[in-house]
Amino acid sequence: MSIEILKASSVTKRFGAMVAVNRVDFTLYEHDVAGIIGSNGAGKTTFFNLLTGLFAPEEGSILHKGVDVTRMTPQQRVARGITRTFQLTSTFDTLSVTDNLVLAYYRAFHKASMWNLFFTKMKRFHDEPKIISILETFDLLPVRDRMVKNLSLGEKRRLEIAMAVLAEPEVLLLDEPLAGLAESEIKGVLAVLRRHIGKQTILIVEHKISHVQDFVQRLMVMHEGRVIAEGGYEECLNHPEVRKSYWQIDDSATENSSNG
Amino acid sequence: MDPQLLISGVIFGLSMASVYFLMSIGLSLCFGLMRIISLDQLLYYSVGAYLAYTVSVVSGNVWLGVLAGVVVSGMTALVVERFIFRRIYERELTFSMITSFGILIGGVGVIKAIWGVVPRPVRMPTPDLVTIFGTEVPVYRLMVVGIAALVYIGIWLFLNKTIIGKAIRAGIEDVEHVEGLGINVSRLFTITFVIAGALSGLAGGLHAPLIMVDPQMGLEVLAFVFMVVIIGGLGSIKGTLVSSLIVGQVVSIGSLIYAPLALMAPFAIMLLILLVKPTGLYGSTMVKK
Repeated sequence: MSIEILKASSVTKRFGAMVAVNRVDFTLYEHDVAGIIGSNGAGKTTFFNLLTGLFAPEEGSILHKGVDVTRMTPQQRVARGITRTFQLTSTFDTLSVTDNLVLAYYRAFHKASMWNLFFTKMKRFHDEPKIISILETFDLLPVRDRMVKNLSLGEKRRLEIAMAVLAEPEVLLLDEPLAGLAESEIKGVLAVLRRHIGKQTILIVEHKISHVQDFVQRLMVMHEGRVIAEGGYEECLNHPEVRKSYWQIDDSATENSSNG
Repeated sequence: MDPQLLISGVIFGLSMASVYFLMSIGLSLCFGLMRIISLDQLLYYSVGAYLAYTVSVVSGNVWLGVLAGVVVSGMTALVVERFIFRRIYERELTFSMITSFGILIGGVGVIKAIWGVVPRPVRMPTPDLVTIFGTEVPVYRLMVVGIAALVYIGIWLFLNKTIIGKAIRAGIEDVEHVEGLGINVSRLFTITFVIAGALSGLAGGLHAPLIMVDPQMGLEVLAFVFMVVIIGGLGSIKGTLVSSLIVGQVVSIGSLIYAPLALMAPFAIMLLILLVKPTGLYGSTMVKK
């Protein structure tokens, strides 16, 4: 039986009068590769922010392996093994590629003494085998000393995912990791992500369905804050509500006119 | 202008710039990382100066007084951060400004209660003079410049070579993303605030022998420190250094040319720079998140 890793029950988030996420139920199982799709304003990113602790829901609960994490901070959730990437790349422009990775690695120093925090040289970690290995895996070795502001968007995305993976999370939450990338870069990012299938539980938020077609095992489709379909790729794609919200194809109207 | 007067004016300006730099660096870092306007740094400056006065009177050693000022200012900053600022980080910028101004005014009241309102003199650690291009210059002023230069190097090494320094720089870029990495942001805030408070205390302790220590001394430099931070660009250490040099020299040389210029010229320069570059010399377009 699959183990429930992350479970959201009746989660609701409002911004003033607007209900951004409306009583959403969702379960992520161990080694799942799941996707959340939906049009702009569907509530995908808000739901994602609820899972990662950036927002707290007004109603509902979020469990991580049975433990209530609803009110936990993002930092506490990262410590539990839930890491994320952001829709807009969350790398640090004024630092080098390796420095960015070392900061992601820094978590190991959480309980470090003040002496270590102040007197541990950054350089010491530049040749850390784990960091070298992640630079190789994500094809970032040639740009390891480059300032992040001088990287291409594709390289930034790869670095961001590398930073998330470096922490060896149990759950990897990816918020539109393919946004703004050229086709060749999309292939590159998906290729590195595929290497983590079976090792980590992955949840990916994406706007374009075609991008995740060959990647996810199951989908959840959101529209106006609600879940309108859940299941396999084909199943979701052929769901009448999905067709209506995504492509404005109203199956019931077509049926009525053919009957008439 | 008499060259000897100019040389002594430049040295005076450098020592003023050093004090402004040490005070402004804390304000700048606090804004850059925590997005707060920490006017209470001016209180730690006064605390540093009064500790330098008291300890130098008791022990006869001004340097010991300066050190005591650094430690007590840092500890006061720690208490203020833990019990006050930690509760208001999420609030609007103006909220932190008003709160910190309240702490400053309250602190000035405590200083008046402990030391009274009469200005106190602090003796120079060394009365020696050194001759530079035929002009006699107090060695102590050069020592103040040297200490500020060492602090700049220390802060640069800290921000560029240590893990926590890089985390602070990353936090200045985007604190939410730093938190997303699982880094303890609250700890970063505390460390930054204590460093800022200790440096303000160092500024007060070093400035004390050059002025008369009085309860209002923090409020008297308020405008200059604000100018330094705004001209340099909020959150930029390099900008703070450059702008403190500009303000220090403008105040010093301006007073030699025409005394009222000393107060007016820095404002004129600030307005000019803001017209050309609204974010200051090295500032980025940072907004409250």
